[in-house]
Amino acid sequence: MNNAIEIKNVSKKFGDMKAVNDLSLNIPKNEVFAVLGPNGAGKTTMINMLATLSTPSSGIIKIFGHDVVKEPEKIRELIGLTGQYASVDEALSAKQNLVIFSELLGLSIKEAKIRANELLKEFHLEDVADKVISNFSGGMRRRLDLAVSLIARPELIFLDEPTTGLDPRTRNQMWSTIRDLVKNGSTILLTTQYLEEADQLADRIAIMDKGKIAVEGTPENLKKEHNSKSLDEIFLKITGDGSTGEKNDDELNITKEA
Amino acid sequence: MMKTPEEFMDTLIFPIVFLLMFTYIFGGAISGSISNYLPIIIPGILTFCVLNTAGTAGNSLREDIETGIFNRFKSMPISRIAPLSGKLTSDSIRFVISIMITYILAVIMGFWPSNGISGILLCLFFLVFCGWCISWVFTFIGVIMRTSGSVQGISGIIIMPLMFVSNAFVPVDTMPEPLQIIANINPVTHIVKATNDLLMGSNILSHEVLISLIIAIVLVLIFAPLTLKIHLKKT
Ligand SMILES: Nc1ncnc2c1ncn2[C@@H]1O[C@H](COP(=O)(O)OP(=O)(O)O)[C@@H](O)[C@H]1O
Ligand SMILES: [Mg+2]
Repeated sequence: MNNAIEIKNVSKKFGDMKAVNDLSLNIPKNEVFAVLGPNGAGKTTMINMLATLSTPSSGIIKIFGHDVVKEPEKIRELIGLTGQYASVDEALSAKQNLVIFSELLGLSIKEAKIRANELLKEFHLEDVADKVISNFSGGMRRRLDLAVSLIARPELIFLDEPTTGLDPRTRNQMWSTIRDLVKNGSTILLTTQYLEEADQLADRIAIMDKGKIAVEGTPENLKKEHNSKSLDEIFLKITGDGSTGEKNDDELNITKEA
Repeated sequence: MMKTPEEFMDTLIFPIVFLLMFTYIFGGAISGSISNYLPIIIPGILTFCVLNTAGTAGNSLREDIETGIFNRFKSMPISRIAPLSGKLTSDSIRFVISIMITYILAVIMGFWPSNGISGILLCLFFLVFCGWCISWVFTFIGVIMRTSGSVQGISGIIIMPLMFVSNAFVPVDTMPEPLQIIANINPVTHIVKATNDLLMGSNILSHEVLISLIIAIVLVLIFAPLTLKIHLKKT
């Protein structure tokens, strides 16, 4: 079994609306897999089901062979989640956050401090280790967020829009951090609204729209199959011309202002 | 934890304002003099502080949920109730602060409980425990409401009538008959009486203390599982 994740006919309904609609997808081990889709495509809804935050309305999800609904505790030991929204304690410093989450995960105070220092170093946060998070820039916050989800050295890492809202320089830093992670042999599932991000980082890409996966494959294969020079063209073809393109532009503009 | 200066001010200022206000505005009218009124009002103000602080628990939980930190907790291999109860327990320091402020101010104003330091300490433990238990009610409101604003509103609507239709600020026998009946079954009345017994009663561990502890424990047994269930179901 070479798949880290197997998703079979999964749907998630909110009232009458299907945020994820009969989705099937296999994600291989030790690769970076990008799910690319516009705002509202259902990316976060899908990640939440994979990370055992919510249960599918129908369908089956297996992670390393374990059913997410039947064995959520097992899954939680194998995954690390960096959600779309910051999930660290704003009132604490970077180091305090890492230590507290380490302790929550069962490390002794001594081990927790060692692990916190390792991660601060790895993520270039040593200089700001004792600064309170509410004074952090968006980029530092995202890095800390990612560091916290790696405390337990998970085999599978979910990154939900890791660079949305970051300026281009910080985005590049984040990308190199993610590349380093892959070198260590982790499996990464990331979602993004940015084509460039998917193209830069991912071994395989799935384009998601309206709760479904439209196409899936390596960037090269996708380009070949669709006779397109760029993923851009494929993305626009699938998500419907103007509207999504505009949405992405808006996002980029907001990013620049922030 | 003290998230913001505003929250800290709330914890700090609330007991001071209410103790001064009640004592100087109602003291003379109700008990003839301020020194006579202090023993009546102190248990009431202490209970009020605890309820108010418990009331902020829901709001502060709602704000935390809005940040996404609870999503991380849910994705971690830890018990699902731990983050919730951990938060309430770390918030307990706020009960201690508001209770201690009230004690100190009361002593400055000329109040000394006949049971002395041991009464004060027992009462502190009692109130912090009750406060922790009552927090679960507001934590429940915190997870069912959608915004922290509405949580605050509802908490206020629950706390105010509970406080005023009780023996917290005026003796119950000055109320009209129907209100007396309500006041006498109001849990706040029991907690106020228990506080009074702990500080100044001849029998420190009175049955009022027992009744209050039972009420507090029942609240946890009802609201902790309910809160957890709804918290896990959302998203
Ligand atoms: N808890 C929820 N209740 C109702 N609708 C939701 C909920 N979460 C997401 N949705 C809806 O599901 C759709 C997909 O949302 P989401 O998964 O957040 O998309 P993405 O992460 O791709 O931007 C959106 O239309 C969104 O409004
Ligand atoms: Mg999303």
